[in-house]
Amino acid sequence: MTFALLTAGGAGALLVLLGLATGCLGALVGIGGGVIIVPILSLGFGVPMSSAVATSLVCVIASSSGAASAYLRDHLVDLRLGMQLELFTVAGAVAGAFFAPLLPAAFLQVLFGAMSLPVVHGLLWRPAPELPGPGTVRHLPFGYAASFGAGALSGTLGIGGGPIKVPVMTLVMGVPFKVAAATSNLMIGVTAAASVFIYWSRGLLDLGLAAPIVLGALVGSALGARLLPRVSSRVLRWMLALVLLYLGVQMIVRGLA
Amino acid sequence: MKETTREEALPLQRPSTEAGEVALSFLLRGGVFAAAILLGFAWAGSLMAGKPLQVPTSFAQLGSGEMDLWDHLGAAGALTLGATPIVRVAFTIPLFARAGERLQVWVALGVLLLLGVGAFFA
Repeated sequence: MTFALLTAGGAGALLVLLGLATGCLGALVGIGGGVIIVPILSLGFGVPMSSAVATSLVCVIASSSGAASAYLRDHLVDLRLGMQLELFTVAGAVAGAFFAPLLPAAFLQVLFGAMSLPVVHGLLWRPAPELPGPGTVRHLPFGYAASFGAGALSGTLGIGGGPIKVPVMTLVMGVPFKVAAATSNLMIGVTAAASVFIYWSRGLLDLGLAAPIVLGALVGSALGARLLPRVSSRVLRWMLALVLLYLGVQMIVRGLA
Repeated sequence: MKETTREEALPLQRPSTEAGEVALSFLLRGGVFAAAILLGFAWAGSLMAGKPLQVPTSFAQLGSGEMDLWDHLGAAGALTLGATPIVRVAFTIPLFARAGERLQVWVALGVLLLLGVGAFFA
């Protein structure tokens, strides 16, 4: 509430641009964009962390649903795989909500940061299928376990499932990158929706802050969904690798601090 | 580990649900479009009125008179946006049921059940 009138004038335009950029990036690489929105809101705009997280969740729903609608229409989403991984992600999120106080958050942050480095290496250098089509989905049980872990850690690490599930689908399960990104977009909206109502009920949702970001994110996700077929998977993997590298370093710094 | 072919377990596309996937696409697009219109009007209205948007945290607050039109529009927009992916999960149940994919019906029901459990204990 305190920050709502910040959104007038130049600050409002900046927030729309922030939503546009994160919505576009999220649609392209299958992440929600919270890893970018939360630090910018909290460090750049002085928004309290809990309000920044609530705002980013609303933005994640907007960008992922907007992108997923285009990907479903184009049959780029593996709906069955998405639904099955979604089941384990939500189960993990529910379990994580109960056991979060018992988890060593700092250790998990450093562990996530350290593990992101080989994933970045894999995204950059390991060959992967380019196009969707007849193929195989490998190591389903690992995918279920990773989705459960992504859900369980989402509350502790403050990240959505995308940065974990897209690399797992691509590098371990053999899903083409664009299908993984599209399927991730379908999934993360559900996880974010489950959390956003909790923040809302606790009075932490600031709509004056969220509205311009949501409007930007919707335009950005539509733009990203249009760009996805035109951008090569290699470029997209580089983009995700850079996001993961940034996130990994951020986690290590936060964990050690 | 034995590989499961996509045709056996998780086909990328099956003609049986392709029309349904397009319907889900319309549902998602309709939800986010409606939410964007409501939130856009609410944001613009609150800026013109020079007061921050209030978000109700209880049903009692909705009818208390503390909130103006823009607050109600904003709350309706946020509710529409938050409900869109959950309604999408619910709509996959008849989609998979019509295609005779019982496993996927149970998966969708499981997601909804877990969302309910999470909301109840939150």
